Parts: sequence; C-alpha cells; structure tokens
Amino acid sequence: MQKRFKAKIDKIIKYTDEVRLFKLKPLSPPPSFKPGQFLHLAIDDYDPSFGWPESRVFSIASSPFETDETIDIIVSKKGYFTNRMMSELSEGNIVWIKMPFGDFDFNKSRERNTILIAGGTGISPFIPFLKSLSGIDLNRKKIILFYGVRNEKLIIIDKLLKELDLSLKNFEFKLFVEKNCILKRVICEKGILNIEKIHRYSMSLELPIFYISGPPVMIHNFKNFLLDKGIQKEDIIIDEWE
Amino acid sequence: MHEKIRKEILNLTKEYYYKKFINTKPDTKRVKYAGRVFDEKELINLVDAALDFWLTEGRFTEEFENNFAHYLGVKSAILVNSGSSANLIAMTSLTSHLLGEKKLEKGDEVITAAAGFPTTVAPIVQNNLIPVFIDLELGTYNVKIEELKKAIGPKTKAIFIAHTLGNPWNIDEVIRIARENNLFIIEDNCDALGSMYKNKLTGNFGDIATFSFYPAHHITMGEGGCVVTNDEILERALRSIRDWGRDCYCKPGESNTCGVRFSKKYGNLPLGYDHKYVYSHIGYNLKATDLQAAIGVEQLKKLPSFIKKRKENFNLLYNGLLRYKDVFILPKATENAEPAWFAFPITIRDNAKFTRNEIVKFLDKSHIETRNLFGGNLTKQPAFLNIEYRTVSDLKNTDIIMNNTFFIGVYPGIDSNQIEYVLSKFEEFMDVYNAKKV
Repeated sequence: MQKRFKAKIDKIIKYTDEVRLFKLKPLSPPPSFKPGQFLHLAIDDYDPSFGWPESRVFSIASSPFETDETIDIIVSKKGYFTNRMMSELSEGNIVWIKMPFGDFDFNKSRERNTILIAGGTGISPFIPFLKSLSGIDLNRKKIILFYGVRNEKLIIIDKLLKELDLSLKNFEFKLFVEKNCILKRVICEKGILNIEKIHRYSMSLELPIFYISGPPVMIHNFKNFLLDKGIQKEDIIIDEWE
Repeated sequence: MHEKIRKEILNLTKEYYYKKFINTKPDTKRVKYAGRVFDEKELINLVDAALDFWLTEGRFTEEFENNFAHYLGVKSAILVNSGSSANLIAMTSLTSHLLGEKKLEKGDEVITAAAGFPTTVAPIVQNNLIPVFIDLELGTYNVKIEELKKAIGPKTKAIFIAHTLGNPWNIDEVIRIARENNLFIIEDNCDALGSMYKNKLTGNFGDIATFSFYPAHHITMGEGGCVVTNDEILERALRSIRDWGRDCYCKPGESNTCGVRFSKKYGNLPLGYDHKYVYSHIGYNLKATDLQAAIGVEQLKKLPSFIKKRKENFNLLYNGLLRYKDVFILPKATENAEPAWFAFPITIRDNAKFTRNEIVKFLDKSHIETRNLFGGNLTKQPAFLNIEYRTVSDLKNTDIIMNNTFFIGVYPGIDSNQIEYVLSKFEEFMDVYNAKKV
C-alpha cells in the first residue's frame, strides 16, 4: 500500500555534475515495494491542509530486501525540479516521499528469457531486480543486460555486475560506454546501445521478453523497432516518463 | 502561531469531551442493541482533521488504510463511505475487464443468502447478475454446505455471503467448494470485524472482503466502510470503480502520479488526453472524507478491547439464557471459529407458546432494544419481489428466521449491570409466559 513519509538524506554520491545517487533514510517505517516501482519526492514540506507539494517521479534504485534500509534514487539534472534538488539538497535535509507506484514489474521474467536494455540512469529500475537475483534460482532462464552510458563515471553498478557475472551462470551483461572505456573497472566496450544488434542477439533465445528503460526517445525508437520486427506488444515492457 | 492555536483547540476539545460526555449522566436505563463507544481521542482527531480543512481523503485516510491492512494482514485496504458501498464495489469489481475471461458477465450467477442485509444482494442485482439464494442453519445462521454444493450451476461464478452477526461460515468447506468450481469469493465481513477462524481473522479468506463502520458496528466512523484484497488486479479495479471509474490513481488534489499524464492513448481518445479524465470503468464516487477516517484511526486502536467486551457480554447472556433453551435456539459458533459477535441472536422454537412480536414488544417496553435479523427473507421484501433469482430449496430456515429470529445487543457500551437487567427481564417474561401456560 502507498504511504507518505519523511526521509532524511543520508548520503549523496556524486557521479558527475549532472548525476547523483541520493540515499534516503525513512523517518517512519516505509511501505514494501517491488523491484521496478517508483516514488515521488517532494523538496517542500507537506502540509495536509494544502495538499501534496510539487514532486517528481524517480525509479527506486535500491532493493526492497536490503538491510541498510535506505531508499536510493538516481537523479539526473534535467529541468527545474532536478536543478532544485542538486542546488538545495544536502546530507541531513528532510524530504517527503510517497511510494510505491508503477507496473514496471518483473513478474513475466520469471519463466522467460529476459533482455534488459538500460540507457544511462535508466538502469535505476533494474538495480533492485538485479540485486534480487543474487544467489537464487539457478535454473532460471537467461537474463541479459545491455547497458549504455555516456562515460565510465556513470557506470553505477560495476560491482554488482561483476558479482552477478561470477555467481549466476545464466546472467550476462554487455556494457557500452559512448566516450571511451579506459579504466576497465568492469568489462565494457566503446559504443552506444544498438537495438538492431540487440534484436539479432535475442533471436538466439526462445521467446524473450524485453524491458527497456532510459531516455524517452530511446524507449520510443527501440520499442518501435522491436514491434516492426514482430515482437509482440505484451513482450516489450517499458519504463517511460514524460 | 497557528500551531499554537491548534494545540489550544485540541486541548479544549479534550476538556469539552469530559464535560459533555463524561460528566453528563448517560441514559443507562435504555439498553441499546448497538452504539458508538469512544473517548476524547476520536473527538480530538476529528477536530484535528477539521482544522486541516482537507475535505476529501488525506493523511488520516492513508493512515487508516495502512493500519487496517496491517491489522488484518492483507495487502490493500480501500476506504469507502459505507459497508454497502464496499459491497457494491466489491461485486462490481468482479465484472471488470481487467479480469479478462474470468470476469462476471450479465446473467452469471452469484450464490448468496436471502436471510441477511439487502445490500449484500443488491449489488448482485445492480450488476445484472442473478442471485442464487441458499438457506442457512439455525443457531449458527450460516450457510448450509449441502445446499451450497447443490446451488452451483454452469453459470455460477461467485459466492457472496456475510458472516452472519459475526459468526464465520464454515470457511474450509466454502473455500474448498469455491476453488473446486473456480468461483470467486467475497466475504461480507461487515458484521464480523475481529472474528477468527482457525486463528486467522476473517476477511483473509476470500478474494475480496468488505467491512462496515456504521455506528452499530465493531468500530465506527459514523458512515464508512472498507474493501480489502490481496490481489493487485482486483485492487486496481476496486479503486477505479470507487473513484468515478477513472484510470488515474492520483489522490485528491494531486496530479501526474503516474508520470505519463499527457503521453498515452486510451480508447478512441486523442493521443495525450489528460489521464486524469480517462475512464476505464463504469464507476461511482464512493470515497469517504478524512474527517471520517480520523475517527476510524482512533477507533481501530480500541478494537481489541471492543472485541473482548463483546465476547464477555455474549457469554454472560448465553449463560443466563441457557435455561430457556427449550424455547430458544441460542447462538452457536461455527466449529473452529471464534466470533467477535455483532449481536446475540435468538430464534424462538416452534413449541414456544409466544411469538417473536410478543417478546420483542415486552423487551421494548422494558427499554431493551431488539432487531430482527435484518431483511428476514429478502425474496419477500418489496424491493426484491420482481428480481430474477434461483433457489435450490424452499428456504425453510430463512422463513423461520424471518418469523422467529431477533437479536439483542452485546456491544461494548453495555455494562454488566445492564446485562443483569436484560436477563431479569427475560426471567420476568418467562414467568408470565409460564404462568399463562399453567
């Protein structure tokens, strides 16, 4: 069930000037949520007499089963609100959250070959799902992550990818870095996400299901490409925002 | 500054409560069958909600829904403005397109009881479905399992029955039959909040359960009700039907909760039509206000003590009336059940030489409130004379209930002195009756 509650900004991790991870510590017990769901964050105080203040949606980037109990979001500076977040919010500040919402869930992936396509901060909804894979269900079908970022600083989940690569025989990832791939914290290649190549790869899998998360233009183009190639509409699940 | 004034107002509210409701001598002479039981906290919460002046659902609604779901151990609780509204959206949700082929359609049948409250049956009729009435057992006032089995036909799709007066039906059997026949189950739990079956609260067994918070019930908001479910698809349908039938799930006063308010295409509407005004169900507006929810938040905290008192009162009455079991059918808990009794039902046996009206009139003159078991036999009510329905028996017990059953109160506002008074009046009536017999 959804709930509104205050949260303290426990930590802010700066990846670049435009991208930060906010770790939020709820000040009252938060509701449970499923991987793929999102929350609303409000910077201003919530006064019940005047209704919910302005807020924005963010995919929840932490696992519902994690023990440190922070709720994580990845914020990319894009417009007025995210600019406010970057300039006004510091560790220790209080914000208001309402959550969870959304249907971008991974139920269908349980029995299907799964292709995850993440562009930039679009990796967020996949993070709790990927974390839930650790150590379970080795007979699961294949899961492949195609993850594209602009530069290496934006590879947020390199440790998790390495862990999963070592521990799960059915997990594979392909990481693309637009600018270059020098540091090699994790195996990556120079380039961008290419839906044609992804689709060609998927043809070796039986009845794959596609999850796409990232910039709206990317989602729109990738989805249309797959539909044109005969992939069923219900087998393409997108995490889209205005 | 306004926070300081708010605090003063709430403190004065507390003072008002003690002066108005405690220091004023109550009318203990009349033994009501039901009523509100509250202290200063409900009044304070109500005033607190009023001072928000957030007139529709708000923080108290959210708090109540979360706490109620937690109490029952269910995933979702949806507040509505009455138990009848809860029943209406519960039944209607089973006709939702979201259920695909499983949805109920015009002419499908729903098994229910004729001896009960009209707004358990009305939603069946209102959704163009056919009620199939089954008879009840006397004493437990719950489903005759053999009749339930016989009632199932090719068009039967659901069971929608109340736990009569707080006594759970034989849940194991009903669930087994329902699952074997792919039937949905709606538990009408309006009179049974806090009742248990095999150590699990009722409201947890069906696909959907409904609750009422009218003042006669276990907790009150004045007017209020709730629907609960563990099924996400049903939850979506329930909320939509409650909220004008809309697809949007924003809370009142909020926008773009979904994040795609102007981006999608629905039906034959133009692309980007405001999601706030997209309607995916034929619905109503059956929301409650935050004022009601504020009362409910405090009432829910008192529920364990209310249940305890109801059971105590029930036991005192039962032990006191046991000596009249040759003329009264006394209530009996279903096996494996622990009812949080709504009331104390009594059915006058055939061999009694007095009628229900005679004893009820006597009790009424003695200032003891009684009630019939709601609609009696609903097929005989004026509103239901011309509805299409099916039965598998002559509803013999339903007619007995209609003619011979009444109930008296066990609500927590009745104290032991009043129970003693009630028993003394039964004794007085029986002395008169016995004297007449001789």
